[in-house]
Amino acid sequence: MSTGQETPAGARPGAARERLRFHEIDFELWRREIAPLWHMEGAVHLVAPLVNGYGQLQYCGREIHARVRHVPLAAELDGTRIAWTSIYNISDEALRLRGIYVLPEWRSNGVGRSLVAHAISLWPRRFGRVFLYARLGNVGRYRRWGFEIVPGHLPRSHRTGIEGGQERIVQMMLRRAAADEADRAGAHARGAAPWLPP
Amino acid sequence: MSAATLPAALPPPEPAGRAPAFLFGFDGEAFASRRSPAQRYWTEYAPASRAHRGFAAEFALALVDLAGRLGRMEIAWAGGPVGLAAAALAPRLGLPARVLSLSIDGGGPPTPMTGLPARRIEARFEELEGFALGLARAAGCGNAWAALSAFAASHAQWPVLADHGEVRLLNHGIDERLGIVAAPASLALVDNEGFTALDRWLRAERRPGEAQLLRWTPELVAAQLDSPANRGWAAAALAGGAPALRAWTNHAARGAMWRRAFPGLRHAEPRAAWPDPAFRARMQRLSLRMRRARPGCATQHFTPLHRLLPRLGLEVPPGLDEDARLYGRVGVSPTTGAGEPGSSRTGEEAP
Repeated sequence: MSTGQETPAGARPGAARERLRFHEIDFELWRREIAPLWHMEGAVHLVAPLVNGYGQLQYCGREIHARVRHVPLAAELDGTRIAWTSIYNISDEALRLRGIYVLPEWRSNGVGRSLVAHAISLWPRRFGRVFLYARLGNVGRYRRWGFEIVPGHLPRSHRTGIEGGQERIVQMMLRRAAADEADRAGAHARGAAPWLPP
Repeated sequence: MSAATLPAALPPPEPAGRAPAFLFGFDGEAFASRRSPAQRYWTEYAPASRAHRGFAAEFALALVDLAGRLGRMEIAWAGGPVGLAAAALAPRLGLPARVLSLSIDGGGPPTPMTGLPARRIEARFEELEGFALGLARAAGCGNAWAALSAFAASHAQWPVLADHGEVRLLNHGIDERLGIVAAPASLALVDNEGFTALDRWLRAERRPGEAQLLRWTPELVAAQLDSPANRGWAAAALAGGAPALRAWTNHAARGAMWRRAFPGLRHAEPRAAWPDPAFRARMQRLSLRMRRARPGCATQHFTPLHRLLPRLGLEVPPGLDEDARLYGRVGVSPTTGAGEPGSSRTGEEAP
């Protein structure tokens, strides 16, 4: 699929995100490129296109092929890819973001936030909730983007590609309507729901 | 068996001539084999057409139906409950069958005394090992116990009933490593890709037989899910707290279900019939080698129970569809055809 657009992100003059372009890329390419960030260089083939996320995926049977639309995305800056994410529908009403990776030298520039906003914007409004699993160290960041920890969900263990080590992750959710409402309320509200790029 | 990967398109199943109650596939192809690690593995259950009659009765009905299609059958017993129950029922039901039992390096469970003719295969572990690694590479299987069932089936001289399969349930809300209830209950039926490796192998080898007797009819699947043991498991999982922690999977419930249906059945899973610690350790190492022989084929498919139960004509317990409330609903059932994402009531298009 082509998203049919190359979206300039951000409006602040001079910001890196102003020169960002977003592309859907082939899954094989996507996982080869994110594997080093996952410490899975030697096990690229183990990066599956979909993961269930502890019961997130509501589709089953042939729906897994026919109805789930997996969109691997990358952000390019001046022709070089510097960030990746992927997004897919877990039901007819909700989405999952899987992996948000920004090269270390480009972090804290709004790149990830812009890429995520673009990924979500690709989907119709009826997909009203967006889920992700956040490492505990990133919870504050995603809160600033408008995500909240799903009520009743606690941090849980998670195997990573880092020598089979474990990290704690927790499920977070973004309500698109609430985020939009906050955005419409004005720039001052972005502190509460700043997932939309200014 | 060739060590090469099986062809994507496998021959039709034997016995043929019936609508399958259980399907598996990769991406858009049903009853196929994996061509790429990026393919999505799925399983699907046909809807029930009548109320089930209980596990024991549905198991017997399925066995009679299968035997009628196979003509005569060899029950390849690897120590599991499927083969043992089938071997116990066959003479009572007048089915033309015999038992094939397995001994590895002189060990293994004795041939069950069921009144059926029996023959025993004596094999060395190295033979099992060679077969298992070939199965892993060709059909995608990282489980040595599944390979043991397949190994037994590979020695059959008649159409074979493999001693294989289980209906495994799981509560996603449990973090078993931390030993905590990490989220509200989210119950699903788990199908590991390796569970159907034997199906792929049978087809590729053009061997008449069946590896999924427990999934032979929708009513048999329904009877297992609706058994008192599994209902009790679901109630414990939904209760939260300590009961839920003890009910991460339905492992204990599966055993209770078998024992209730077939009193006297000693082993609810094949590995229980092979108690030798040295043998078990070798099997554990073999599983690891199998996974390494073909990595990327260890995927799982989860069918949310709140979607499966109504399909099988079963009541959904209160609280079971909480994850649907959170994660959203699916508007089109698997049987009514696959719509494209975005072809919704709103007319909006997905990306």
